Amino acid sequence: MSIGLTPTEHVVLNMGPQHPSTHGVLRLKLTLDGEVILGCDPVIGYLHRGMEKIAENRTYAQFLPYTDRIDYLSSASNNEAFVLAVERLAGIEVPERAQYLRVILLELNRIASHLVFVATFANDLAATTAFLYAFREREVIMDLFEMWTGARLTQSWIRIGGVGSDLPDGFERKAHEFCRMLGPRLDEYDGLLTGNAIFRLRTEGVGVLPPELGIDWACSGPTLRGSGVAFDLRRAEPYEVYEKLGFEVVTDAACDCMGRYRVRMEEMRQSVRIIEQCLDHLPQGEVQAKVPRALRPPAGEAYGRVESPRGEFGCYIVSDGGTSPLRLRLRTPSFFHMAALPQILRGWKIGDVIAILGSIDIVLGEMDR
Amino acid sequence: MGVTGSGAAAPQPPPPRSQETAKTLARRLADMVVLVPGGEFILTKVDYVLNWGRASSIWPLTYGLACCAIEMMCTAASRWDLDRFGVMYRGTPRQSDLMVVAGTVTKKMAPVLRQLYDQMPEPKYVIAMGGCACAGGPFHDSYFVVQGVDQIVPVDIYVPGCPPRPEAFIDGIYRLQQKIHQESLRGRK
Amino acid sequence: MTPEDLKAQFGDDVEAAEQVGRELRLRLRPASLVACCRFCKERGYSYPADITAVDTGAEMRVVYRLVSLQRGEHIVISVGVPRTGGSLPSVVGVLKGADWPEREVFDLFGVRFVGHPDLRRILLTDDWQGYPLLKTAQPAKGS
Repeated sequence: MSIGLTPTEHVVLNMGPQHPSTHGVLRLKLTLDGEVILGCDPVIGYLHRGMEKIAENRTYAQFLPYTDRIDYLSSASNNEAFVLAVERLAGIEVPERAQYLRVILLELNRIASHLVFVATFANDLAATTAFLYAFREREVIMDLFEMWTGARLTQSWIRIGGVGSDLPDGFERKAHEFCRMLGPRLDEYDGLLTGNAIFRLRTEGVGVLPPELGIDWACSGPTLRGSGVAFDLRRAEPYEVYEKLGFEVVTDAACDCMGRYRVRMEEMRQSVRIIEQCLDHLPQGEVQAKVPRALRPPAGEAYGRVESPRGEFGCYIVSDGGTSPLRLRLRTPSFFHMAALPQILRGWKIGDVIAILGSIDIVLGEMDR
Repeated sequence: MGVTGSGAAAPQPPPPRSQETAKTLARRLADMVVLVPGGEFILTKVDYVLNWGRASSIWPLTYGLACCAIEMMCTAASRWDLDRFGVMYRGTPRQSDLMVVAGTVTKKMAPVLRQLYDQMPEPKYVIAMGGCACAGGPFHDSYFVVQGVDQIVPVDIYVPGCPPRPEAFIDGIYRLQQKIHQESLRGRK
Repeated sequence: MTPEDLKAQFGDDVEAAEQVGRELRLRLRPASLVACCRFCKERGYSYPADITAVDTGAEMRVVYRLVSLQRGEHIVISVGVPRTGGSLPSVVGVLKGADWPEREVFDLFGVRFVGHPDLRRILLTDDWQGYPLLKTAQPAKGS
């Protein structure tokens, strides 16, 4: 009597669009052989709000608040890409003090976004404590934002020609306090997570993204830097005053989830360095250039790219000389990272999907626009 | 700041026996208890206990859609701790009694939202958090955005804002608790 | 890479080429699209930063942006297509990262990409009628 193998079928498992760990409304159709993933078909568009079409019916100033809502975890980066493109089109010079203030806001947004990454990544891997710790630090940043801009999450404070207003009294002291406080707190997270055996088991060697694959699929940001590729737009195509500031481009040769996590942890420390340099070298001057109320950039096109916490965030504007853009295209990193995801997921198990998806740090608002 | 919405539909006449549910049975029982001397008193006590239980342990579904979801997470996190109100997020609609629609509802998401709402057991409540969920928000002329989640599900509380501050969201939860306290076995007001 | 290199390689198919700052902007005829992408990729412009379309009302063009990470330079290729019913050869064979952006251009503008492995809608629902980002498609006033 021979016992043959039980015949099996491939199962298609639907993950999402409502799922605690998909970081938003994302649907993954996973083709499984048992628990092993054979293929993945992401279905996106559940948060497609039609931003690009809306831009054609708003003036440039009116569209600025919409940019906050694209990648809502770091609103300033979206503002920055948009205003870079508009200023390039219209030939607007931004005063130096405003450039330093923009960098401060951008780096604070970067830290806030990476804190949410640590919180949700750890939470997805069932280390819920880190969620509460990271949000505690983030609240201090929210206080700084509120003190300066009036809003916690969607600041709309990087505007065409400068920033919304100058720093209020007491901001520099509070910001220095925050910078001093963050370092030891990050060491706390290292103690909780980076050395933790379970965390390491779930992230080391998992979700390997070879650098050639990353470049072929146009990955960027910590996702690509976690595979050893030293591509950071703040160094490759500097904007604002990044050329004058000293900071490292953080890479990690591990190519796995742990590598991407370590890149973001170290980037937070580098951001603190940048903020302190800006606060120390802040020049006097205006914070807003003279911009006409009904801005009509001359006909042409421009592409503003910034290094957002997720990667290369670009805003491609085609102007026909009117008050609204003829075409506004948002090139968002999460869209391209999600395109690469099926390549990374093949061969891993369902539990690894959560770790890999979390380590890529997507935001659905910017993926779907 | 929250605004109270219409909640469930107007009170219906009792269904025929073949369509009795636990809720309608409870209402028929409550109607009978009221006829007994002292029955009103018993009913208000039972109502009070049930409402206290429901309001003190509102379990929402993790259903963040967009930016408001981040403020919802902040409200649940360290500084504004929602857990002290008994609010504990559940991942499945089968175990939750509140759906906080936090963010923009798109036409692709709308059928999913309705399906999740239908999967929640009674009594269930809906909070529309943020401008987009209340009435479409800044996306009023988008080809793909539903102009307010009340076009798909009945909403109990509207919390406007873009995004609403955590204090505003807590106020919305508080008003929902007040609304729950007004409920009775004899039917929702 | 200079505009002259491309004109030398592709002759009349290059309708216009100029260097604007970091970007080498060229206007190309569809026949040379795939060959041009391969040409650029072999010379280091291997990062397919973006593919999108622009509908100006008078004409439509599909814009490809290839970046060289080492040099920090961009090549921006614009290819003209008819506003309705247009089609282009897909560059997925040369640039794997073109997969999803081409699907998005098809979804929002209606441009078909011949040779694409899986050309279907990506952002809108599968049964959506029309292509919303065309200039003729008006915004829906709160439906």
